[in-house]
Amino acid sequence: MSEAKRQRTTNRNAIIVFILFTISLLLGSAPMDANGGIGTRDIAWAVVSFLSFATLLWAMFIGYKQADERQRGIQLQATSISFATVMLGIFVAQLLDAIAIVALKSSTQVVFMGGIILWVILLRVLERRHS
Amino acid sequence: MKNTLAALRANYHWSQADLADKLDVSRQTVNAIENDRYDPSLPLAFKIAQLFDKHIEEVFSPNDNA
Repeated sequence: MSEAKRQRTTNRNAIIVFILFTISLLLGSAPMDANGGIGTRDIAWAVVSFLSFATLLWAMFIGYKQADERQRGIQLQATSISFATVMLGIFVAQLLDAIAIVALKSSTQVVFMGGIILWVILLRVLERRHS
Repeated sequence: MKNTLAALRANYHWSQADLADKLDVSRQTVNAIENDRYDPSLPLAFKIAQLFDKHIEEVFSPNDNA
């Protein structure tokens, strides 16, 4: 696979994952069922959230598989930094939820979207730095 | 690690993209190796040496010997 094609595949996968997380965020931001039950929107949110994570894993796997040894090293660096950032973000989201500032359901989506953006940016920056 | 990859490639009149295709790596990786910004793995180093019909030490040498 040519470099340009690999780059296009990575960008396309990142966009798909980002769109799914955005939909998940929009669904998760809606108020819960007033009766405390599980509504259609909650089920849709759960399904889209699952799809978001599944697509994210698939995109990362495809990217890793198509990369050569130097690019794999760069991908692992970008993944480890963004993973640590997401862990920290979830911790902060949990604290904000505990003091009732932002609901965990929505804030985790934002944290994951931030993690994806950071991951893509790090890939570009590290690629330029090491080539 | 120093290497003579750029000179060897020039002898064969190959572009970085040509060499990248033959080694099944990206052009950026070839560029990084040529400019000593990336040290290839042992299998890739052997693959490079075999491609140019050289011994690995004829292509790669440690920095302190340079």
